[in-house]
Amino acid sequence: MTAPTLHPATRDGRNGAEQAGEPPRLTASRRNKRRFGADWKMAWAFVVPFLALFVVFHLVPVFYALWQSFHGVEKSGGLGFTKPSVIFVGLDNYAEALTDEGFLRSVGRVLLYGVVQVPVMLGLALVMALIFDTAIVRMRSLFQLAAFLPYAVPGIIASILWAFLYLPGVSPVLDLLDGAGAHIDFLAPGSVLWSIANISTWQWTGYNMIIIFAALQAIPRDLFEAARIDGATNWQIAWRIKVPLVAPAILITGLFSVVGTLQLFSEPTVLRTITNNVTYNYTPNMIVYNLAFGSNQPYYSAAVAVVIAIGAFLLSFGFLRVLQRRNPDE
Amino acid sequence: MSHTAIRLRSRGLAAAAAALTLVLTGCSSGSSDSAGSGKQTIVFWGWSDMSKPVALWNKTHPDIHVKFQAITSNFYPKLQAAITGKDGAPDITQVDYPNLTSTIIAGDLKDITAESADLKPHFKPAVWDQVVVNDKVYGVPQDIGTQVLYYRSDVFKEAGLTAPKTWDEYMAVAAKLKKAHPKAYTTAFPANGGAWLASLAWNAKARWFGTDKDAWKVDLDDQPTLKVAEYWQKMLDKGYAKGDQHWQPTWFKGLAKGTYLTWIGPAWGGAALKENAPDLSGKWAVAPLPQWTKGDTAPVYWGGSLTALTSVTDKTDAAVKFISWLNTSKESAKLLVADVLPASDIGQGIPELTKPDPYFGGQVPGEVFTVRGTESTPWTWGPTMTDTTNYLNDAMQSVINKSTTLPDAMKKVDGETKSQLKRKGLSVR
Amino acid sequence: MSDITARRTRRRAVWSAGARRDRAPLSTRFILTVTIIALTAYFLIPIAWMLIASTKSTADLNTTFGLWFSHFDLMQNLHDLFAYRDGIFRRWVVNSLIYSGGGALGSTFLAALCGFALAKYRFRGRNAIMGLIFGGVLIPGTVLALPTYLLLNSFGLINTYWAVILPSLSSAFGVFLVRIYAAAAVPDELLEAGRIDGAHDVRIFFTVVLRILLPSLVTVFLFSFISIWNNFLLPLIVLNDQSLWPVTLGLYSWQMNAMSEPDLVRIVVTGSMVGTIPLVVLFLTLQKYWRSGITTGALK
Repeated sequence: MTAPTLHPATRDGRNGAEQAGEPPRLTASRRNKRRFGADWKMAWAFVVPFLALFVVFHLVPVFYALWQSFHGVEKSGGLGFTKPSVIFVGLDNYAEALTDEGFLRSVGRVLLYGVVQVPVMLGLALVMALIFDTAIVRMRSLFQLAAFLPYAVPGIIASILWAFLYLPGVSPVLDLLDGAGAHIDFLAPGSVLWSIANISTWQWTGYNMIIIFAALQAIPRDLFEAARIDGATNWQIAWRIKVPLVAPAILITGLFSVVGTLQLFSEPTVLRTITNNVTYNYTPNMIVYNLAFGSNQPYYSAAVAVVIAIGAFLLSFGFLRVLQRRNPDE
Repeated sequence: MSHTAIRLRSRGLAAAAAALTLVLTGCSSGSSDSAGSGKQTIVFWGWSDMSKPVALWNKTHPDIHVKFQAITSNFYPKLQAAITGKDGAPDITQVDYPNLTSTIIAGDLKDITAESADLKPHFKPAVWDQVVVNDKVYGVPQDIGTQVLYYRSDVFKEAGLTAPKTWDEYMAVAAKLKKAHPKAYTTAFPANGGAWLASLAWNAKARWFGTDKDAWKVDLDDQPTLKVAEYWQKMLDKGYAKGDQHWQPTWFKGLAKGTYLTWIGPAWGGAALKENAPDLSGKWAVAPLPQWTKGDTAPVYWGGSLTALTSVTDKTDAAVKFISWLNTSKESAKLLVADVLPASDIGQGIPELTKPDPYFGGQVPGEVFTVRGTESTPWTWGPTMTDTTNYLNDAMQSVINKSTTLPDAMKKVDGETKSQLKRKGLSVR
Repeated sequence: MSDITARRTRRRAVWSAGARRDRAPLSTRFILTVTIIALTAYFLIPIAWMLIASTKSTADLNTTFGLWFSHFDLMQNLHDLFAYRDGIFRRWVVNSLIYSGGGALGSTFLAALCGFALAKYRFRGRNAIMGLIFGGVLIPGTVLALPTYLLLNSFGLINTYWAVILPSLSSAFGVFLVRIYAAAAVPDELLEAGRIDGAHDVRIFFTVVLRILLPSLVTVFLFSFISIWNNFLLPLIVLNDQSLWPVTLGLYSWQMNAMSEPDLVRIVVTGSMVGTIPLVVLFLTLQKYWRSGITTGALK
């Protein structure tokens, strides 16, 4: 367990604990005799409803996808008008995926996106959290709420809103930029990736800021006073003390962001309705979707999906290892 | 442990088991309610709204009840899943012509060559060709998107131009329009125009797909196609055509504000013009699509769909009765014509299509849209049109972005399509 | 007076020892304030545009400046939104409420049961279950999309309310949160006291534990509600009938049409506003809970 200050939930729960602690009439011997929590049948009864659904809707599909990824269809006639049969193809689908130029390009694209968007977003979130952690800006909670508001907008709706803001003729942002003499095409082949990045940044910066802010607030305040007595400036305190102490929080938000990057789907799908510069195979997830639901190649689609999942796992575990090395008692 | 508790738990388990059974067996809302004296229910899937003709049918045909379901996303995957799962599978489905071959290959459709024999005379050969694959008939044509040339009659008149009959004339017209209106373009070159480009290749007598014994012949960079590709590359290079996207606000605005002076579009596209450029009423006109050889009249199509029977239906007779009424009766055509151009001769003969249209300056657009001659340019849609259209769209976008030229892009699309066929286990020659 | 000021300053100094207001130079304060205001503008402009655009007619939307009001046509737009296509939008709102409300209620309850058991029982398989759940969280949704579709298809559940609700019922995040909370907030003594009084575990859970867990359950409910409300991929693939769609899917389909039917833009924007309001209201009223949810989820 981390320090209770990191868990506002724990703080909220204190009432219950105090209430319950009131009648101290149990003796140690009686407690051992009727120990709560030793009844394993009861435990399973509590766990099973969730577990059953989790297995059916999370694990079975994964194994199904794995099974599919090793299979394919075989047509008996070269024209394909006869009934096809499903055969085992070993690693063929994987070999295909790893040499599929379109897929590799989409992976490169989301990696480029991730390398730029995640640090920019976390940087913004960190800067905001640091500013809020000082009391320099008034009406802090109001500003925090404003930053968090985009998270409350459903992802599809956020994408639709930004699509309109990128659209010449409707967008007031383009009007303003045109007025200032800047003619920017948000939907051009070179810029549309960053227009997508902007949608995620807009949606998630506030969310990440809240996390980092909570971590900042959990740092014991006397640490700063001590540093100040040693002659540290505010900037030094921020960079040398605060940032290293909230690094785990930043890393974990980074982990979620990277996994999110690999799964990029709804933002580009919505922008595709207004520009063909977002191609049908723009992101790995769009490829999986198109293979499964557009071009009728479920087996190959499954292999590509598994490759993405493995990629996400590797990235996640890489991140977690970095995290654990910094924080061995977790 | 008290008795109440045990009962409580077992009751909970029973409830959970019941729920699970419900989940596993599924509350199948069967569509096969052949209740009553011989009354049959037919399930009909489509993406365009067929509720009006279906309602009329149900009113006039009490013995066969049709239940229409509009499926507006992922149509073919859902169709296939329903047919493999059998549960809730439709008896009749709408299919668009380009995807007919792939839908047959997926095993979703029924061969109705015998049942449809007496319907064939109601359609022009060019139209009927659209439902024949591998010498078998798989449906009845419902609507058809004859490609035509929409042009600004007022601008043409002012510049002393007439509607071009050949592609050479079209290019000459473009040059003159450029001089008269330097800021305008003759037309838009669409980034999302895979299906549009296919119709133009077809018009040039290209054969993208064909069969040779037990293998597919794929040739998306044959001579006619390269001729078309070079033509449009020239249109772009000379500034006669501008890269844009069909159905996007910029494009509509271009049509409404006089940026685009012509549009090579389908019969069903007239409605979009009226809706988005209402101020230009009387200033648009329709002409037949330009040809490579003067005097050719064979039509080509963009879009349109047929009605087919699914491979799992056990109500063939009733289903055929309904689709022949839907596609070869005047009553049904009168309802369909609001959105599309009916495919049959009977459907094309209704008064709605022989009336002058004030939007097109009193012209009778139906005369241009409907197919008169019996000429037909052979054309086969390939088994991977969804993918091929994606490749084409990508290629056209790259051409607009100037990262390749259209002839080169077509060679790439040819290669991509061939490997896609192989990936799907088909032979390619 | 000076006494009060001094005390206030001291209190602030303790709270925000990072940088005392009186110590930071004016220029720093200015730069930081401007930074925050600029970022806030960035966060609010799209929302402001949505609110303003939903009050405009199609003509005004195209001709007047987007970030200020013109003729106020909100009522007309709302009327048209709920009348468009035989008023199907109302149905979508109701569907979204059913999916999110039902799914969130169910998943909260299951998470409460499971999270509590994982926190308070010692039994074989406990660690395996926790590992399983944690691993499950990291599986990208698209891997599951097609198999889930085929699974639901084989159950005959495609195109039913269950197709959206059942897969949403198992919230790993919820279990995770309840487990942490229960471990910290539910005292073992209380549970044992209950047992000594002769109460059965199930009864203890329903009469005592649920009440203690309530704050965490509100958080779980809130986050499940939001994630189901925002879900796009699952409804997109499992629902055929428009009458079963949630708001997000409906708006997406209209957005596609809006490109060729300019008059639809104002309806999509007004619909977006209506589709966002329930979430904003939830967030504003339940601030305490989402903050705790976000930080617990991320920091543990």
